Amino acid sequence: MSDIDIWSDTVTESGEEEVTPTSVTLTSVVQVIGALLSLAGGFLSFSGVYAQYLADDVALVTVLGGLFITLIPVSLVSIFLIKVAHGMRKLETWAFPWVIYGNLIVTGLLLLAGGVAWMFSIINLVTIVFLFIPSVKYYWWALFKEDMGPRMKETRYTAYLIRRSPLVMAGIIIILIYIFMALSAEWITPYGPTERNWYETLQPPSPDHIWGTDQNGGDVFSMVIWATRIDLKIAITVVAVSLIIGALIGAAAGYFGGAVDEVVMRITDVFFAFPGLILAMAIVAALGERNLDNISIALMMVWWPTYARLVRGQVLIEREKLYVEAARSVGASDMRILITHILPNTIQPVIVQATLDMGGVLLTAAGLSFIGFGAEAGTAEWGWMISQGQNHFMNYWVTLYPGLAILFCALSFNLVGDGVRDIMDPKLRRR
Amino acid sequence: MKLRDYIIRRLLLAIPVVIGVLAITFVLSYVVGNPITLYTTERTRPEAIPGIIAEHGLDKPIYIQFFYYLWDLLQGNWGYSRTARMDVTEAISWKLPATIELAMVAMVFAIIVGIPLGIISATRKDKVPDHVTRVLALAGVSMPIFWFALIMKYVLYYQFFMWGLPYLPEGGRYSYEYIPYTPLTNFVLFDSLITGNFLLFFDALIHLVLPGFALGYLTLAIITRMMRSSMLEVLKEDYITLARSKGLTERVVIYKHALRNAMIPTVTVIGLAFGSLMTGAVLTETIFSWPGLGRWSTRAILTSDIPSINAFTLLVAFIFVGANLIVDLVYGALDPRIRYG
Repeated sequence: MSDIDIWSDTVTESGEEEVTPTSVTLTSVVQVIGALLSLAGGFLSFSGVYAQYLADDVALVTVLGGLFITLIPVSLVSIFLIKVAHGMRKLETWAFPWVIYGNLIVTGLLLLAGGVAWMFSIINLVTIVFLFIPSVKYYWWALFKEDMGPRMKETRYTAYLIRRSPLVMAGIIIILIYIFMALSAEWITPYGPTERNWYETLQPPSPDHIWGTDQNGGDVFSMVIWATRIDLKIAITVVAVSLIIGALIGAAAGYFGGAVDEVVMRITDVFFAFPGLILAMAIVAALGERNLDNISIALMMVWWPTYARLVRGQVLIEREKLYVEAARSVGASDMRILITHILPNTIQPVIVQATLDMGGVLLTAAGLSFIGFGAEAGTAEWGWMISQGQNHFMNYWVTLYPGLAILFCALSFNLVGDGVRDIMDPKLRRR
Repeated sequence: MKLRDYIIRRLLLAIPVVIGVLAITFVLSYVVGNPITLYTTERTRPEAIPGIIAEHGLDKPIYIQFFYYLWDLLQGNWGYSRTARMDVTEAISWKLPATIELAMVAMVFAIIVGIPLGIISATRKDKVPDHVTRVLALAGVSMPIFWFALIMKYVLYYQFFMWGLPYLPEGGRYSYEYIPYTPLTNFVLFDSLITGNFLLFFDALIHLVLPGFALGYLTLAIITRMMRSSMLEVLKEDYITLARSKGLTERVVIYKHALRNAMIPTVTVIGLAFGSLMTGAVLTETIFSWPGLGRWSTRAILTSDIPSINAFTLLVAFIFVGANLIVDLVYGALDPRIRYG
């Protein structure tokens, strides 16, 4: 595969000291600094969130979200990255691709956390740029390509199948349009999310208000677009958090089996005994205040068992396979086997389920808002807008457009999820 | 013998679930928040509060309170519903039949339409009927049913009324202004048939069209999708090829050989759809002012009426658990290949 034999170039039989490639050592130093800085960034942003919680009346979910998004994963990945940097100095090639993955993950997490944390993410990106300097790339690229060969081929084939499927492509395009709308709401809407013209209530669609106005004179078009932001945010956070929690719990249950498994499965049984919306309703009622944060918490509590079950089933299949046996026989720890060997192989059905659930979460969140939980009055949110239209259902435009927005959003996620599931299905996949 | 063991094991497995459900409702309604507010108003004198706490055992440890809670539930002492202005048990006996009636109509509609649609879609794969059915089913899964209900109400009630066409009623169970009705079991359709009151029967039926359709559409979509995929799976089996090569007609192959096996996953889905029907009832009933559990629970939650919320959550969970249990048992009876256990 490769024409560069990296081992004979760099590490000779007699030891590592003979050849000390300076750029690799430099990269590993940068890598250590990057890992430390990202660790600091994670702690800083989390403590910022926590300080804000103490100072103002920020809901608990913000703190928990900060914990889950920044502190825990960033710490884990950063500690791992320092280990990786150590490996790089000794020129262990497995360290190089992990620098890319790890730094990208940390960067993404820090960007997600926002605030000052994004400044720390730049140094992680610098490391990645370092790795692609030709003299550094020389040490790892050939082996990496060879290592990833079969997987890349598989991925490329999947991408080809996805490109060929018109329904999946349509779904992806609609999702991209929604994301674009959410990001550029300031520039593509003529009115703000809470802007009201009190003298122009319930106007039918006209050039001024292309989708008409609601009973308070809010421009329906602008509000539908602004609502994209809120609704997509709810769907993404709920699915992401319940996926992480569910996957970890399910993986532990499946891998260790026995009493842990039994207890976890009975707990998920209990959660499955309630229809989703109704449990979420009861949780919101118990939490007292009705706002978007509480909706998110309720939906997370409703959704994690799905992932726990799914991941558990997958882990039960995977842990009997030969490669796990091999990893155990070379002395890998339980944690390592679970995280680096088993979990990556269970990820495909989880991703499909998450895509399908995005639609489900959207619909349930809108349903909760519709019956009066969730968004405070006046928030541009699809479910709340439809509930306003309920009293003015003769003015069809108040109801029609937010509903269409939900419909197409959920539809696109369902299209992508269904299509990708069919593509991934080994029974249907023809080679 | 084996089937009996399976049934017993399945029933035993339901016990921890029931206990868990009770624990969750207990935690949600009595532990989160201050339970004393249940028994006090703004006019309660402060010196009366210790007595109230002692009377209801609120000073006891939580697990003791949990047993008090269980004891009250078993005694039928489910509390007083402020929203319905009557005891919770009485409110349930009034409102449950309305919801069950609606859910049943939706379910029957979904099954009658959904299964044939699924079969047609599978047997004419990648032809026009298949594409139409798939789009309909996908839309049903992705559609917010409260929105669908509102739009249908707008078109079939308001616009038809404006155009002078025969329109459907906007809500309620029957035209109570015109037709006298004294409830026997509070299932309007059933009562009117027994008493031979056909005018009421048809009136109630017409009132059921809109909510039933709105509620049933999601279930219809789920059943159609499931039926299609399981039928496609079954049609690939060897025994279907054998049946065809014997020279049997396509009709016999599909309806006699394939359908039975394709029904098995569909039956599961039908049982699970009970949950989505209950969820849907919450959303649909508010729109069609249907005097059922859904509307009651929504009002209860908006006014923090804890006993009602608790009763509703418990009731729905038990219905759901029961439905799952029945599905599992039916599953075992339908498919002898299943290894019980």
